[in-house]
Amino acid sequence: MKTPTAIRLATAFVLASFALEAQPVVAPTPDRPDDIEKAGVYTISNSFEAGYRFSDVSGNRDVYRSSVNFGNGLRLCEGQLRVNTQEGKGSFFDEFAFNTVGAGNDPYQSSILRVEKNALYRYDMQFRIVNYFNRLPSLWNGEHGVDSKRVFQNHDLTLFPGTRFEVLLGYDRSNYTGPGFSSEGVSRGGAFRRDQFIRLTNNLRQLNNQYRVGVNVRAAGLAITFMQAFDNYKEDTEYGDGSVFPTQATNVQPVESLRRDEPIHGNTPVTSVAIRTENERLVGFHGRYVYASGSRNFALREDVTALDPARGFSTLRQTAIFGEGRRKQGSGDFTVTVMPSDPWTITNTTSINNSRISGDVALLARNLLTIESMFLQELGVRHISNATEVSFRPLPKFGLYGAYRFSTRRIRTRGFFQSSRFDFEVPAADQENDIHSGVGGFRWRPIRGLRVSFDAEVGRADRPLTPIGEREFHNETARVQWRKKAFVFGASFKSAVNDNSASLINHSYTSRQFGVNTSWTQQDGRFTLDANYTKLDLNTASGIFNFFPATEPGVERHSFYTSNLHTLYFGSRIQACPRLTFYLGYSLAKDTGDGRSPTFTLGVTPAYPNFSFDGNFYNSFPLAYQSPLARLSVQLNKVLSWNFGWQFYNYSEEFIGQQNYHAHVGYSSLRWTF
Amino acid sequence: MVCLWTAAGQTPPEPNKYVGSQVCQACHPDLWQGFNRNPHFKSIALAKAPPEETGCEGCHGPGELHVKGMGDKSKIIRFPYLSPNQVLDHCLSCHAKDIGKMHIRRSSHSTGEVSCISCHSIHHSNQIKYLLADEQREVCYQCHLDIRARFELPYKHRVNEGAIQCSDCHNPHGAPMATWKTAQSPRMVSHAFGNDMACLKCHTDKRGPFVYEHTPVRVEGCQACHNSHGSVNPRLLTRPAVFTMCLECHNSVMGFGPRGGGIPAPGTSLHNLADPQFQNCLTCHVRIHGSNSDSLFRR
Repeated sequence: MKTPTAIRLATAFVLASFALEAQPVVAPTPDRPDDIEKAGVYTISNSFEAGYRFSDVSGNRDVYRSSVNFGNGLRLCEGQLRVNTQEGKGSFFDEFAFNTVGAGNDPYQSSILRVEKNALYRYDMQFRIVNYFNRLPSLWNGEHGVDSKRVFQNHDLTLFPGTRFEVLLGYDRSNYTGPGFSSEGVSRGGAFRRDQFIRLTNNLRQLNNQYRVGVNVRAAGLAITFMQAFDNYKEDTEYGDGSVFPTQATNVQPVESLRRDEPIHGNTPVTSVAIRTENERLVGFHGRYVYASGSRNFALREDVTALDPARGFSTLRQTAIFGEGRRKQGSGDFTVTVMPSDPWTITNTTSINNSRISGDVALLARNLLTIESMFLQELGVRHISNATEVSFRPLPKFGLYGAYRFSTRRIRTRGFFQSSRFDFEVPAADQENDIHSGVGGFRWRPIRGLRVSFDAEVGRADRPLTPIGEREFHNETARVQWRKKAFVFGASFKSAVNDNSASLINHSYTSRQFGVNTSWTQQDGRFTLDANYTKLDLNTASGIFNFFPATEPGVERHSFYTSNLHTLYFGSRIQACPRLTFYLGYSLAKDTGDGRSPTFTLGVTPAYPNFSFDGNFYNSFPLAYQSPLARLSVQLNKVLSWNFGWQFYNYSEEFIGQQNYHAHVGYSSLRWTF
Repeated sequence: MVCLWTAAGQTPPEPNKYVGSQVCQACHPDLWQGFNRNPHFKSIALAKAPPEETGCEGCHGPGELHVKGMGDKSKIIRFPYLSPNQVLDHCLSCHAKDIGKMHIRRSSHSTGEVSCISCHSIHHSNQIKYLLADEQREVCYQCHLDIRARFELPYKHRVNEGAIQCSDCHNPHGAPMATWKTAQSPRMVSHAFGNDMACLKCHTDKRGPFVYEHTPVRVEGCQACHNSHGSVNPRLLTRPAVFTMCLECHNSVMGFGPRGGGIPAPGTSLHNLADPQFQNCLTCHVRIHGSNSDSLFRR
């Protein structure tokens, strides 16, 4: 028989679990079961936390905004409202649950809502806003930057949930907007030299809507789901002259005026059907088929004027292109599961995927009235895969696992070009690739609370598409977890090795990851501890053809990349007295690279000081990124508490100091629970 | 069955019967408190399902002998003492109808003996949805230490910040075989639009179709160039500088590429690595995920 003490322990467990978060950036709002209020036929629990967030950044603010991006202002840090019927017989709903995080002006905001009337309807909503900023130096990825906002909405309405006939309705919306800048390679002569590029500003305007309708029917031991979705995409990004945008890159073509419009609109209807057995006692099966046939129409019109230095006057470049991209994709799979007795589970899955992407594009002549040239392009990809997996548990504490997987992939390409001067056809060509792999492993529970597992996979592929693809590979994974009451210790090891060699070149990688973690919660929940450490090693060696003009062109060289990444996390929650709770945390990510001192590239521009160059590239990127964290929560009375949090970010690269930043981010808030 | 026991000269075991959830409340008030907020309460509220599919005994089996035995623990189903397969069987007796659990028998979690109660806390969950034992990311981090580390890096998907969740990209109950890469991996990644890469759920502009597809995007998937969880490199790239990443494939070695003739290496006359412009491949090849107007992805 349980006692009130047990209730308190359960509550403490629930409260304590919040302290085990990984680097939380907003204060948690515990939903305390003992605070549930009764109101008529409903029970209500509600809490919200509002306050002010502040940030103080020194150093490179662009890099800060590209990786953290918290700003100043009032926030609804977190809010939660749950209303449930006591007897499950509400008038309009039996459950209303709402949760929001970061509302106000945080760069990452998320809200979820569920409203349900048992067996009549269930409505789920998710609303998210992500402010994505990226303004990193051009040496990394070219001339691109964006200060954007993505707004996601997901709505799902299920009628008659839990019954044998469910109606499924859905609507998703994704909106991507904001200013940015980009670049374009210039490919014509005269004022537009081939080795130069121009800069563009843009105003992103991308909108995706998806509507879904379907049914889920259960009869005769089978469940059948049919869904029809209609996906619509619209992009009406506006482009303008961005030649004055600051940059580190060279060879910028000065333009006098630029205008580009490039609307892209398209639809993708998706039809899916799935069938599966409900009660899998001895044999079960399930299958599904999805067919999507999409297209996107586009038109590009661009006018650029630039000064031709040779002639001394401006030149106009006009471009007009239009066309359509199409993709038809059918995917199906069928799985049979056999469970002859409790220790055995055998599954066999066959999967087929076939997609064909084609498109045509026409380039208008300078008079913009006649078609100067036309391209047709086609890419087809077909997979056929089969996997047989066996789980066998000969002893209650010991189980074995084995699998054999086979896939064959065919890639087909062809093209056709037609112009007023000549035509040519790229005949269809196939590239086929088979891959076989076998997996074996065991799971062992020698004592209660201790779990050990190990898997090893060996695979061979005969003709990978790319030099970095898997050819001769093996992967190993081992995990240990020991759980005793409120103490948990875990360790994991992963290794992946691949060797992809061809006649003249070789690519190989070795990745090893090791991690340990532990957590402990004191019995009354007043003290919790959570810590983990991981080491991620990656070494790759790739054959490349060096085309640095000062050396021999076309000579095989190598590119080496080494990453030795150590991450550490520590967090502890201390309830000093019933009204006072501290939370302390620290995280560190440190890449030591290949361990050598930074060397400057010889011959190559110092823009890449993290390379040493002797005909080969030695590539590593040592940095340290650490973030201590402290939080304080003071319970003012039964329903009100005051919270204060502070987090420090220290981003430090070894090579390029101007990218480093320090940032203090904090908040002060009040939490009201009733 | 009774005849078999009699023939063997033994007394048949006393048949166990259902007693109803009201009886359970008497000794387990802690579990009953707040149970109206538990999704499993629906079957009790609706009162339409047979005893073996509703309330406490829907999961824990008939309770008469347990009650008669004054709470004899050996007379009731206790999930922590079941084998992972048995836990799965019990839960799937109701949840097999969910389309998201179609692949659960062959999922990496099931084959790794990670059962339902490893992640779900049926009686002590404080989460709004799915009865998770903790916040979703924390549940996953318990075992996936390397992934947790990835989300501590400077550039990452904002999972710790609450913007997205693991289940936005992964189906922890198992997913169909991938329609990209070689179809064998990744194994637990859910599909956007039923048969496309999960990344394209949000990054809809990369979905195309494009007239000129960058073949590895469609064939090998986004992970050919990106560490999707987190990276020390901007834009989640696998290398700190783009051109070394590009050159690892673009080396003209016969046998690779969609036509087997090698993936073209940049021409030496146009691409002078001493010039910073050509160290930034994406300065010119801006539409690297796919383009409608240029086969070299320059616009």
